Amino acid sequence: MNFLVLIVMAAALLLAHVLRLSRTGVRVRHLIVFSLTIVLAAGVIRFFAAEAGLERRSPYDGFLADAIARMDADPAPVVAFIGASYSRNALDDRRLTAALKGAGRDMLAVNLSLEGASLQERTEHLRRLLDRAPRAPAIVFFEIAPEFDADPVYVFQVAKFSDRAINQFAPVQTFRALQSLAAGACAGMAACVQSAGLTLAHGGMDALNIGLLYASSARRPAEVRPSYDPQDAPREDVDAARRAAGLADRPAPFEGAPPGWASAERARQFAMVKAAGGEVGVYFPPVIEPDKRAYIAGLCETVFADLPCIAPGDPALLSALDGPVWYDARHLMREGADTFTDWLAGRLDAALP
Amino acid sequence: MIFTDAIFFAFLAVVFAAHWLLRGREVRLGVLLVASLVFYGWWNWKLLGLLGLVVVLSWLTAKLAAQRPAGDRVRRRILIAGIGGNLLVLAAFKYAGFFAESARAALAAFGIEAGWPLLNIILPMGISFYVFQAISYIVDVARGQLPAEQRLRRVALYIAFFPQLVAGPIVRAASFFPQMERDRRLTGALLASGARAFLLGLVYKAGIADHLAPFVDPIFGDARIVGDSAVSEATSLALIGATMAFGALIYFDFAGYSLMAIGVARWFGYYIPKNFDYPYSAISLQDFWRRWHISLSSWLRDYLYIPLGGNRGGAMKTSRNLMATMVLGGLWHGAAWTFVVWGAMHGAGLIVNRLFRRPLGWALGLILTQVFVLLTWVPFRAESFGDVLEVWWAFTGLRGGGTMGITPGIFAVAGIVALDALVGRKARRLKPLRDPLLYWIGLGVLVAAILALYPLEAAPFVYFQF
Repeated sequence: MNFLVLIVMAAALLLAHVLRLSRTGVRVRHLIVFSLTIVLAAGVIRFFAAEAGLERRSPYDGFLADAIARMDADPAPVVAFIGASYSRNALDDRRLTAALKGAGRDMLAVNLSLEGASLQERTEHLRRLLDRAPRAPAIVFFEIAPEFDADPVYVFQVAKFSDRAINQFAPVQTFRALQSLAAGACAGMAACVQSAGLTLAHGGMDALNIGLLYASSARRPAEVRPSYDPQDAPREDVDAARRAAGLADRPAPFEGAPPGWASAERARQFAMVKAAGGEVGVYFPPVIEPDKRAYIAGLCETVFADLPCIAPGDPALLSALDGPVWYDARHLMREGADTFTDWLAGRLDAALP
Repeated sequence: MIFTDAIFFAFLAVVFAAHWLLRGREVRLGVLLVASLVFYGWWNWKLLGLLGLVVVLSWLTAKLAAQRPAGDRVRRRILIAGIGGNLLVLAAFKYAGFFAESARAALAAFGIEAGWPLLNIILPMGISFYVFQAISYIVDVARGQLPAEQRLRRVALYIAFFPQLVAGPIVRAASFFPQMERDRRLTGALLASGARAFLLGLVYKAGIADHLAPFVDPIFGDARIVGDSAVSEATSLALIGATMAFGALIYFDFAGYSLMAIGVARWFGYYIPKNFDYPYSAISLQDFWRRWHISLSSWLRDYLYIPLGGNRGGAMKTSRNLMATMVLGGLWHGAAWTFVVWGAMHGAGLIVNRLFRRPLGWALGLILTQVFVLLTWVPFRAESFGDVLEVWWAFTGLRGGGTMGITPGIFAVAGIVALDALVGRKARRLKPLRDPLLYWIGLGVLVAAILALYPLEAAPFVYFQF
């Protein structure tokens, strides 16, 4: 048990036992003092928690621990992939490493993707990677998907009121999320109000450290395991005709640009990698839905034209995936992941200097 | 819905507002009854019928018995039927599977295969508590300590009162019924005393107990999280640490629940007696049972031990009564032989305690009592007798093996337990603060500390399973 947790526990116990007032009655100034004290005490706890290295945990910490163990064992330059469930199911980093080494490129691939990770959460994932890894990655590839670019508070769809969600809403991030919601990054008034309310609630929970010491100290450490999550049985039936039509469809590349807030968040991520001496790239695993493929295809031609940008539009890849290799319309099973990973190794070999 | 869930706070706010905004004693009692049924039904509404059965059975028993003169044979039969009916409900839902399985195992030992199917009966939350309250009502009426209540809703509220419905404290009918007849007013003192109990309970539960579970469950096993126990893989130090952590956990968890129940009840103007009085400062086993789960131990004393003969009739009979009471008390906690052993060990300990009354001195008494209590937590928590023996073996220092460790810092929990007893007992004599500013600053720090320690995934209270 952490020393700080014990101190806070003892302080709470002591105060709960001794605090009694000789008379009742509440005045406004008492409430003001009470509120200010909470804020001040929360700040003090936050400061010492940070000093003690106490942070909220998520499954990502287990993935990172696995990646760090591999980095310790293999001194090769690291190529990291940060994304969401698309990548968790599709990108076998151990296989990719073997393929790269087989092609004469001594690199270590690490998949650090977590399902439903919003752009803000990925920034936090990147920070933890850069803070904890024995060496900075040579290059970090960021997954690009339209729904994550469209929703600054995507995390509420997968993990409301969890450590994962609260951790993303430090005051600056809360402000940015509210700013992007005000700029229209939500569909309809009801959705905007709901998202803003949830953002404020999570921001408040973060500011008051709710659960911080429990989340960071008391619970067992995250299970060390690879981020790559191979699936062997589909979770939904993918109609063969729909699959074939979707994979064969070649819509025109997306012509617009990502929302401003998404570009700004990504720019911060790129800056963090570059400050650590690494390079950046973007990518997206294959999906049956053509519009999602068209999104990154368009961005590869415009916004990310100067970066290594890997879009899954290769007809040979898509035709190889036209079989029972889909977990659902958006995620690959193990066999499909092998196909994509091998294809990705070739693309990386071509894209990297 | 448990006391540390966000939904409970919303529920409490609505019930509190409705209770105090509405006028009239009957209306307010109605609010509390409806709230109690919603609270229980939230967990499993289908089991409201069982709760209703216990209520109606107890109400009818007392009502019919009261129509007969004292000492009348029919009255006696009615009372026995009422108490027996309540015990039958408890036996059917809590012990049927256990006894069927034990009989099956006993027959198997003689090579006989039992033909009956495995029973998988859902254990209704709080059944042990509300059945004991129902029996308390019947017996109190039978003893003439309380008139039989004509209004079913009064009996329903007594048995189902939501603050203490699922895990006590077990409130005596003679203490609760008069409270329902009082006119009450919401005062600052009422709010403050409720808040004080509730906050201390919250610190116990969310601030301490929930932080200890991760040190206990991986060793002793927790089906919700890690499955089977890992006792054989753990180091001896880890087993001792986990046992100490469990001793602290069960105290802070259950005392925390009891304090929160007392606090919530107080906000509605009801007084529930305290359930714990720093049991880990007890200097004898008798002292321990005067401080641990007071509402149960006093219930067992008044409704079981004394009717069995108590300490009348010599040492042998007293020992028999003590052992019977403690074994049944152990079984009350759960349908497993490990609980029976736990109860029997305490029974034996109390018998020895009675036989050798010479004072041991404060320090020796404290050490012997607490070591005994700690060792008896092993059968209380362990999943099997094999695990029990292995953990006890670890305490001898002779057990090797095992690689699964535990954070050494967990031993600091002994300091938290000591601090609680020292400060808690002294605090009773402290004068309240005169300076409101100092009070509100302290309260601000306390709230900030609770929030930081607060578990986002609320763990159920340990005693809910009993």
